Amino acid sequence: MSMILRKWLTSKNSLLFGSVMLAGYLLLILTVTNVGQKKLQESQHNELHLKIQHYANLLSNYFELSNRSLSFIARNKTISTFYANKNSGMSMTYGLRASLFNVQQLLAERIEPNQDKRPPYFSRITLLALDGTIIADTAQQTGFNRGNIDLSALKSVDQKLLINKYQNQLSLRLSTTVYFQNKPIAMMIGEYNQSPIIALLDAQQYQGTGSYIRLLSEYGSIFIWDSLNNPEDFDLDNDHDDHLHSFHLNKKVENTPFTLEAWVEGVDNKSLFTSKWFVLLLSLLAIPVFSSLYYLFYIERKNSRLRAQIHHSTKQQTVLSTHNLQLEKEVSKRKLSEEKLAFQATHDSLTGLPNRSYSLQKLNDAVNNCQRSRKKVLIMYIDLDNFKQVNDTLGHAAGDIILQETGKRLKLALRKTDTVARLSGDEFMVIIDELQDLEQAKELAVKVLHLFDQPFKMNKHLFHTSTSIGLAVFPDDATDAENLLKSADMALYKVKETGRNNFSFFESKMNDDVNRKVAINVRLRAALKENTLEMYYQPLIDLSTKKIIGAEALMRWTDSQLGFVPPDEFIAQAEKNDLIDQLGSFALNTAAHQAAEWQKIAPLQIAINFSSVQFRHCESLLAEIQEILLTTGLPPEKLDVEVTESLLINQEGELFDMLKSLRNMGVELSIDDFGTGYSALSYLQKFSFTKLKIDRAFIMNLTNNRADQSLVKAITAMAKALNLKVVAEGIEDKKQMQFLTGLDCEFGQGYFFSPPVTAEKFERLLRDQISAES
Amino acid sequence: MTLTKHKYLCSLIAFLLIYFYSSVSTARDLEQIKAEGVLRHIGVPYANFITLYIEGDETVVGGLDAELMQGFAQHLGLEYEFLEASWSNAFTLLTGKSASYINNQLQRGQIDHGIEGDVIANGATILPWRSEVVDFSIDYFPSAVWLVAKAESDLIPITPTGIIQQDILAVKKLIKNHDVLAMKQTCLDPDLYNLYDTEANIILPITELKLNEMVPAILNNDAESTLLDVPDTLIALQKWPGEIKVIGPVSDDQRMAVAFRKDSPQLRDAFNQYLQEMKKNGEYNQLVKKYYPSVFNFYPDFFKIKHQ
Repeated sequence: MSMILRKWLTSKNSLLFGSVMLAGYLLLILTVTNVGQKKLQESQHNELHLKIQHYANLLSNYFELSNRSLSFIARNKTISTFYANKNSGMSMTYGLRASLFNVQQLLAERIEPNQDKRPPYFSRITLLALDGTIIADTAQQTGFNRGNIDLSALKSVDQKLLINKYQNQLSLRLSTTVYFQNKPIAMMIGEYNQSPIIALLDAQQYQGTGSYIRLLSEYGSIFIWDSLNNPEDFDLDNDHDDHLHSFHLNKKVENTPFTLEAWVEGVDNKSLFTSKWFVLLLSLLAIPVFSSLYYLFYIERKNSRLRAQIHHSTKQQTVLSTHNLQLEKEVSKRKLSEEKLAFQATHDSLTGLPNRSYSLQKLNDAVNNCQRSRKKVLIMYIDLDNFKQVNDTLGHAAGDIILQETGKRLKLALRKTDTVARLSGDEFMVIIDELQDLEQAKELAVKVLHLFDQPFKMNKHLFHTSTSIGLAVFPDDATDAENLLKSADMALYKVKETGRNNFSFFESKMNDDVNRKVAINVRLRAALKENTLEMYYQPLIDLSTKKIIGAEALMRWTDSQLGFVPPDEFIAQAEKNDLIDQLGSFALNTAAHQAAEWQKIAPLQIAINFSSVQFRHCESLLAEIQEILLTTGLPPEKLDVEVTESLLINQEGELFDMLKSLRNMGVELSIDDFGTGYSALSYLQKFSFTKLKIDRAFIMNLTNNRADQSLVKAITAMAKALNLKVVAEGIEDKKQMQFLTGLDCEFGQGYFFSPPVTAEKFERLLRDQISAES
Repeated sequence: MTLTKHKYLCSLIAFLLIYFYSSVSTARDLEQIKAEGVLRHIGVPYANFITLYIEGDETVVGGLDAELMQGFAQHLGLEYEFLEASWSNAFTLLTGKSASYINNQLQRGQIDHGIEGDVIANGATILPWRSEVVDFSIDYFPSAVWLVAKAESDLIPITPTGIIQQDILAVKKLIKNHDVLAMKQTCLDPDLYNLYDTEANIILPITELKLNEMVPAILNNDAESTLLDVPDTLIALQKWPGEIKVIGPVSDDQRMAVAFRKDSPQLRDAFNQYLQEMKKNGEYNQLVKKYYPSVFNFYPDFFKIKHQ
């Protein structure tokens, strides 16, 4: 069914069908318009009839209402009162006149507009006795029209509309019989006010077509309105009803002797004319509609061709895209295998690390990069110790596992940007870009060494191995990649020579430095264990008496292998290697014991230096000091804790509390090396120090350098102001001493008096001084 | 001690004597009223001259005389105060002493009751005996006394002759042996018109009636007819149309006026002046029209504005 429909529904058929439909539509419109016009005329005619009938009804209603109005007046109590009083025989002189006055008042009121401002129905109301005498009248001065008043006839009806000509005008009056005790007693005559009648219809005047309306009676007519456009076309006295031009309509006004007569102009020619043009326009409209139908058909044909082409090309596209997909898959496969090949070419198959040639290329790149950025490159040449042995004893499989594990450990330990490569057999290379300094290189080497502390696990066996590392730094050790690798290899060789499980720099000086630091670290631990550290004491002199009043405890170390090691060097190492607390404890313990001993000879004060690092754990340090004082029995005020300015920078809270506790105990506090560190002088007030030690650097050139003199002067003045005692360090000659004495500097220390000496020597100095005094 | 007491008593007596003397001898005239600031209007509720009605808790006074006196008080710059009276005590309130007309004679009381008001204004008719007691202002309303009968009464209204005396005679002839309601002390006093000579059956109400209760009394069959003054008749004819009829006149034309104490001529002069002015500028006729619209028809001459 749908097939047949589709077959039939071709474009040609559609066009044909459309044309027939359109023709039918136009025909329908023409017919409807024609019929519509006729109906329009007819309806207009009917409308006019209705309208005029409506006017007639309005008038009829108006007269009806006026009848009631006059009837109401006639039945008013005032009227009946008058007649009641009159009937009782009362004379005008004695009482009746008052009633009559009220009647007159009533009538006068009723010809005035009422409360709604509606015009009164009547312009004059007259009360007539049945003998014709006027009892009351609203217009006494004006003559009364008795023309059509037949009282004997009128009294037999309730109301009557009286029309006649009076003084050349149409007189329109209403008579109402007045009853008293159910008998006619008088006649009330109301003369119509004509203007409200005209106004009533005037308000309804038909807008649009012209018309002429009048109220007709046998005595004459009342003109209502004239809005004719062409009055000359009408012969008002001879009626003719030409439907094309005018209508003449007569409607009887019910219950009155009136006829409403109207002439109305016919249907407006203009609207007919417009209708004709409308039809013509509709017919003309067919042309563009036909053209657009044809155009639609034309486009439709073109479209179907195009659609076929599109269908064909879509098919082709689908085939092509299938091909494309296959190709893409092939390409990506190839890419993968190429990548795999490339990876295999550049990487070691066992560990997955870059191989020798690729790593060398990377090293080249790194060298080139750092050459431009003037930075250093470190390479580590790593060789597993005794690997051959592993291979031989545990088999190659075990060796492979060690190699793989080594690769993993190295990669995990280093940065992602660093390169870990396997060069051959058990040799690995690590390239570190952008090396900061040799210290970092050393740290990294130590880190790598420690990677092998953990044993390797193989088949439930644990196997320990160590490694040797050769280090070379670009550009210090070589100017290109190849030479750098050679240098590292040489360094490695050096390690292997000196007993493996270590690292070595290519450059010998670097090696020495590092070695010395390592040696100091190792030897210091040994010294602490073996108790080979010594305490020396430098006398503190009262500059006014030149007498020893105290001592500064100073640590000295002479190692069996390294010889004398300067305190600055080994203390710095101790601070780095967590040995400082032990050193501190040793110094405190030894010096405090010594000082306690010396108290028997003289009331000496012992000054002990504390490193800032020691104050990391304030509480334990405080506890230690307290315990020492307790065990040695040294009076707290005989202990002078020396700290450097650097300790006090940006410190608060815990340290502050600790120093305060020390002070509270009675222990004295001194600032050592004053003037060399960062001085935020506010701490001088914050922490209650007792002494200030001017650094030797200011004293050294004191006699020659005026700047130093000024500084020392200023420092002493400031100390005085803050109520601090001043100690001058490093006094080496008399002149310096004299200058300082002149400044009122309290205490001095230096080679001029005595270098730091052993405890025995110091005791001898002390005893000499006492014997000299005695 | 006794000496001071004696002194105190003497001075008190002297003070009382002076006070008594001054209150007796000094006339309560315009000056004193002005000094007190209140004009006290004595009024007997009557027709549309004085009307009293209760509105809420208050008794409101209205009517032609009330408005007239309120205007007068305002004119003088005084507060207005109304004293309700009846015909039996109106003169006592004004003069302090009673006065009545009994057996064609004026009877004066001797007891001083004290003066309560300053002016009687309630459509009081000027009667000769009243003029002996008080001074009347210039007249402000016309009146007369008519005989009014029930509609069904045998009494037939007289035909006016045009001469009032003859009409009065005709009426007096008619009422022989008929019941006529009248009231002592008022303008309806039968003695004033020698009604006892007519052999009419004069009925005086047992309880004191107000003038506007006369017509209801005859409608209630208390009497066949009654004496009624013109203003009341006009109202009654409106109120009960067809139920009553006017038979004819009993009196000559009368005039109404405001009564003053004989010793307050200045107050009376002030009122006369005020009334004249009102009459002249038409205000008075406006006031009358409000309360008696039909009176102009009866007495057109009286209300004609005279321009001098």
